[in-house]
Amino acid sequence: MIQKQCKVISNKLIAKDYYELVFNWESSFNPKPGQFLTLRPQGLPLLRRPFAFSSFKDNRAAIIYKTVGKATKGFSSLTEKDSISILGPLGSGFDLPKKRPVLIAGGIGLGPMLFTAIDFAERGLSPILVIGARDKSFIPKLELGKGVEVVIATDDGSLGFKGNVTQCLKTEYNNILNNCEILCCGPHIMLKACHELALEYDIECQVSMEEMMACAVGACYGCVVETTHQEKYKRVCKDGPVFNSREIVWI
Amino acid sequence: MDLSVKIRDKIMQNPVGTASGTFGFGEEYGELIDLSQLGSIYTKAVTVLPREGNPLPRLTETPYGMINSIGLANTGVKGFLENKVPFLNTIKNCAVIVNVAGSTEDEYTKVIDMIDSVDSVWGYEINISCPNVKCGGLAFGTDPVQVERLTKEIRKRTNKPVIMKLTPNVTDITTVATACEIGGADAVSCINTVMGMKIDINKKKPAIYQKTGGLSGPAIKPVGVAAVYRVSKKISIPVIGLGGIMNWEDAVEYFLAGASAIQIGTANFIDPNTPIDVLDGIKRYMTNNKLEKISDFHSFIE
Ligand SMILES: Cc1cc2nc3c(=O)[nH]c(=O)nc-3n(C[C@H](O)[C@H](O)[C@H](O)COP(=O)(O)OP(=O)(O)OC[C@H]3O[C@@H](n4cnc5c(N)ncnc54)[C@H](O)[C@@H]3O)c2cc1C
Ligand SMILES: Cc1cc2nc3c(=O)[nH]c(=O)nc-3n(C[C@H](O)[C@H](O)[C@H](O)COP(=O)(O)O)c2cc1C
Ligand code: FES
Repeated sequence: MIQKQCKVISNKLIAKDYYELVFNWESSFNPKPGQFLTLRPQGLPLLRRPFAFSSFKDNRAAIIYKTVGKATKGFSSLTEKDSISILGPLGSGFDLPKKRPVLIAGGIGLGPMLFTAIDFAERGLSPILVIGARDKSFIPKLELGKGVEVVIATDDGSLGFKGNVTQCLKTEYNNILNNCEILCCGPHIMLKACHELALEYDIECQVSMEEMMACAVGACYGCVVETTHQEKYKRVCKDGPVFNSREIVWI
Repeated sequence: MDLSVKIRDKIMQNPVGTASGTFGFGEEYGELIDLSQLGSIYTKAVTVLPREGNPLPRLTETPYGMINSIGLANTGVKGFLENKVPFLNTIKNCAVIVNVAGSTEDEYTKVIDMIDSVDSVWGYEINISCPNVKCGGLAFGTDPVQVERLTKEIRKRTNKPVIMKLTPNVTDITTVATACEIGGADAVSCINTVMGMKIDINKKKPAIYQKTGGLSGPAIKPVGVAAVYRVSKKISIPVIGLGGIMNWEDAVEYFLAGASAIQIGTANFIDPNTPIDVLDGIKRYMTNNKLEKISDFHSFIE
């Protein structure tokens, strides 16, 4: 990991409330799919904010973020003239799956799963990317290239399957579910549903967890999740954010 | 220019340290900054037995600060000896000070007995002030009689520097500081976090599991500066100042208030380079103001 001031290359609205921030990332630390960074807000709020890498290629990296509060609204006004303090890459990324990967993205989980999908496609793993959203306005235009099969599920049916991601998989991809591995990032209830799906079909499931963070480097023990390990709590920032779903105590 | 700080019979190369609980045992931040430039590192609290810490959520942000209730999560003294000491042994020039916590006198002294022979342990900071442990910590830190007795017990067991860490959550911090001095402490650090609470008005619930926790960051700086000022006027052992130091200007304020050294806590989270930047800023200020040594700061404010 490294902390550096990075030049903003672009910062565009790509869907309702979602921005893609592209920045210069010249460093010997190459981010892997599932790893994240923290951005320092300009002025207030105080604490750095964690975001997952959504792409990395040729000294350029990006994140996709949703404007939810003070910091993210502040980031939305960044322009090419600005530079930002970035600390990363942080945490562990996704492990390479042993079976065909089914990547599930909900809400702000889109960024890391896009990165993962492109990386896996380049490795010839034929990933299926399932994107869940409330309605079609939250789904950006995607340019994923060859090798990724994209499936969309919206709660209101305005695009793709009508219903949530797990319902979608059970209805339309039941045959694949028996012989695949799930990798997912999104809201807690979605992750829990993915875990339950994995138990039902007896398949592996990697989940990317989210917790409030302070240091994001493993020093403060503020960001823990409850696990089935002997040392009950594990740090999302350092031991994760990606865990095997069976390690997590789901509540 | 002489930046060194003497505590008991030992010298820290400079007055800038990193505060307990905000810097782990140095490994993580060691990837980001050169630890050998620091004056001191105060470790995460070490207790006799492993502690899993408090349930979550443990953190929340507040205006100009944050509230934590980590609950002294640590691997216990055995885990410290096995897993942390090998790394601490590799740190050059910088004083490694082990933050010790417990809920009975016995728990504190056991930790000291078990680690006193480790050469890379420069000294101890005794946490008698953690607001996040129900049964012990805070009770110790608020009662001068108990503080004096605990300090004496610890003093008997070690020749290394003993620094007592004071809580601001008391009626008069100077009486506790005096108890530390009488008990034989070599220095005091002030302040630990200030008790705080945040409530989510939509959920109508406290923002952290423990309901109340420790407030840190710029919000508490004036509380820390006042504590350092009052304590340093009252006792003659060195006072180590902390609470909300974000930059060198804040550090200078603490020195002018009477601090002989300072610690950077929450600011590490925001900019890991803060300790190094603060040290550079202190040097520039001393040059520009023709100050030769840290004690020169102490002559300005009556
Ligand atoms: C490992 C990880 C990866 C993430 N990746 C993405 C991503 O790719 N895209 C994206 O849009 N969002 C991502 N998030 C969430 C993002 O960090 C928050 O949305 C952001 O911090 C909100 O800041 P704010 O000031 O705008 O909102 P606030 O009003 O401060 O908070 C809104 C919500 O964001 C969460 N949050 C606030 N501060 C922090 C913090 N310091 N650490 C963690 N969570 C916080 C809280 O749950 C809070 O309820 C990620 C979070 C984590 C932990
Ligand atoms: C996440 C966190 C964990 C802490 N853990 C400890 C601890 O284990 N022992 C201790 O004496 N103080 C602990 N503290 C208190 C700090 O060392 C320091 O006294 C306090 O945060 C005020 O300084 P600051 O405003 O610069 O952070 C902790 C503080 C934070 C924010
Ligand atoms: S945020 Fe500090 S340990 Fe994870």
